[in-house]
Amino acid sequence: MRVVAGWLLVAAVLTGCGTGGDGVDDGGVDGGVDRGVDRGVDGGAALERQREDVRSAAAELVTGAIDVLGGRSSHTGGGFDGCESAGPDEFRTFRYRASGRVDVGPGAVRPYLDALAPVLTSAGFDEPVARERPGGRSLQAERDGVSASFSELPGAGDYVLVNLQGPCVEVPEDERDVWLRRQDPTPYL
Amino acid sequence: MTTEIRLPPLPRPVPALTCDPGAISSCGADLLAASAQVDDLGTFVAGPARLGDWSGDAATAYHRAIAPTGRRADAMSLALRGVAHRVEEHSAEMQRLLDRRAGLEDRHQHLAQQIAHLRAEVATTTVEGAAELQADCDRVTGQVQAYETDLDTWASDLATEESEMSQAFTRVLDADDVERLYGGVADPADDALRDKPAAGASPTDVHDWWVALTPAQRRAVIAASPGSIGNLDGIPAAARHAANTVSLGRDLADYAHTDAAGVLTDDERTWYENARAADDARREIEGRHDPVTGEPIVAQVYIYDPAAFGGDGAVAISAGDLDTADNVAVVVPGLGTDGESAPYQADRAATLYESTRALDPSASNASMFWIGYDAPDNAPWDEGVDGAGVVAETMATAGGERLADTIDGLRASREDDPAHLTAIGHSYGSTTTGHGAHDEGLDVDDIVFVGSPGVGGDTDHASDTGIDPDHVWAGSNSRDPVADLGNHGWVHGETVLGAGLGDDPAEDDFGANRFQAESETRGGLFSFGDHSKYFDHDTESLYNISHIVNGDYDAVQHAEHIHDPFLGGPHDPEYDRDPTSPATSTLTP
Repeated sequence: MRVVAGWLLVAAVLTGCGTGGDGVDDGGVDGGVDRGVDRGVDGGAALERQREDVRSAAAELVTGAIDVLGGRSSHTGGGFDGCESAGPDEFRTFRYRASGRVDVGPGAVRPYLDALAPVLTSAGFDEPVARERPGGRSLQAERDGVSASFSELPGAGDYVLVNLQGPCVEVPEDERDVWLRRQDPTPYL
Repeated sequence: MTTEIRLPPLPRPVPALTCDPGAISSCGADLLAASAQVDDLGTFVAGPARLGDWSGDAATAYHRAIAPTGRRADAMSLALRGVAHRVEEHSAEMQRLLDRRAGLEDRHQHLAQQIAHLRAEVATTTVEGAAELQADCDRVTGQVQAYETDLDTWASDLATEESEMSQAFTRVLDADDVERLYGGVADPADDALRDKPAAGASPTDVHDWWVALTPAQRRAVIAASPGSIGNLDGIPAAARHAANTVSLGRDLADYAHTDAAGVLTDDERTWYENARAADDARREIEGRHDPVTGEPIVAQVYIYDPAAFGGDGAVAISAGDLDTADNVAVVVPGLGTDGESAPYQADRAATLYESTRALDPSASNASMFWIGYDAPDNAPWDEGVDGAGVVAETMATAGGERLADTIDGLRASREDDPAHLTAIGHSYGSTTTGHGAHDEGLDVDDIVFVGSPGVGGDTDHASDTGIDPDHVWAGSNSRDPVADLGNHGWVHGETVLGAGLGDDPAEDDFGANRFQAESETRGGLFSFGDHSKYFDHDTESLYNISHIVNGDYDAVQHAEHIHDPFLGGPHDPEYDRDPTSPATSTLTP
């Protein structure tokens, strides 16, 4: 019995097919929850738009943080990440994420996050929510599906981290490898 | 009566410095790869190009003609290598100068603020307060003078560094200079390689040889003979990475050139694809950022052999520093994996790195995907018989041996500073990991099986792995059809006529710790998609694997085991539990 099952597995997975009709689906979408996934017609175009949105928001937040805390920015980069795996070597959905670091100026006073809520709201994000995270705290907010956070880890150093990401976007099967291997080395700031 | 206050002088601003040390380092790597290419030519001329069974006038003329080419190639290789190493030093020095400049800018800003404050004080001070204010001004004046001295030193150091870098280039600008400086010079790699332990030596012997070399010899071996140490167990990860980076850069340049000339063979095209996949994988990791420091994640190419396993390729790349990390995880993928899987596996490794770091910022981590064995990766009617291997354990047995060698290599290079080491086998990789543990005595602290179709026919119980069962873990999504392939029940008839992969490690009889691994996006009954979600962010599986990797066992969310009663089929209590989405990334609500 196991031999048969094993061969069915080989046939199904190596040819990239779900078997259907035998209680086996191939994506986990129809039978399960598909939380927060943008299933627009053109996933590629949506991801390109998301990249622009996330990068411009990231630049705005980093600049705003420097305005209120002084200091300088570094490691202002981003890229496309797979969200949900769909089989061997393949993601079904992708999103754009960006991050950055602001080493605060000599006059900045802890907790740095206290000064950063207005930076989020003035950039059009919802009222931020403060959360604990291992080693520190973060301020999180959303704007049109883009999540953003400032984090402060007192034991790590005198800096705040900026992280943003867009919603997961489904892309056609024949484009998944392209998005998986897409690089984006240019800093947004 | 008026009192004159001497204000401090305004400090000079720090001059702008536009510089990208990463780009400089990349240039150095390219030069080193070019050096390796030229060195290959020298080796070819001194070796295979000499035709020992050819004699006569023509043979003499031929050998005389090629000899200068080999000598020039050797000299040019050494010259390029010298410049490449200087460029690498330049990259590090420019980073230090940038850091010093940032410190000077902070001081400048702070001094400017203090002087502005003192200026305001002068306007309102009284005669009684004048002496104290003058003392403040004198103190700041001293700080300005110290700043000006440091600024001059910085500017001087910058000029010196740029001048020395320029000289490194200009001294070997033409062929005569190269010949004069490097013609007939012995390569420091030669002596070092002469003492290299023979094939089959233990990782400990290899490590002892490596640490006994001088820094110059190590750098020479990396540049001249990267293939001799890049995949050699016992060599520290940083050195393997440096060597494999040279090999990768050389291969990409070679294959691109051959392709452009229209003479790339089918085999070479496959190897080229594997090389490009390895390069993309490395860049994928380097493009991600540490969730604690915000800095780019360090990538280390630990194994690189694009032609291994009949062209399937071997590659292992770490997210994080394997030589120093407190916690090291080695992820063994399974069915469908070959060299071209590297970019996807790199995403997984980086995600695991992010999760482990986010959940415990106090520890350092490295997560390596390991495509170091020949996994079942293609359909038998397509490219060969690899795919048929998925129903038998032959490939897992061979893979287990290779995995144990890799683990021994990691251990040997850190004997004085051992990491907490976890092997994670996914899918057929869990069968491979099981064989590594049972057959070879895998030297790890924890073993994790996820989505396992069976952990090998000889492993009936967690204790058969040779690891304390408290440190043997199993994650099994109730909708994962592959995880359902393992043998259930107390009769171990899982390897009938060599087919079948062994027991399900998530079952109660097996004796491992089962952790929660359901997904909020799981399918209805069985879903192939659920076989691949174990390493996705914000899943129960990644959360629990990360805590195991970090040695934070109390935080692991345990799950009830699968039970197979004497009558009736296996029962999975997890099937009816509502899945959760514990945070593993910094942006999870």
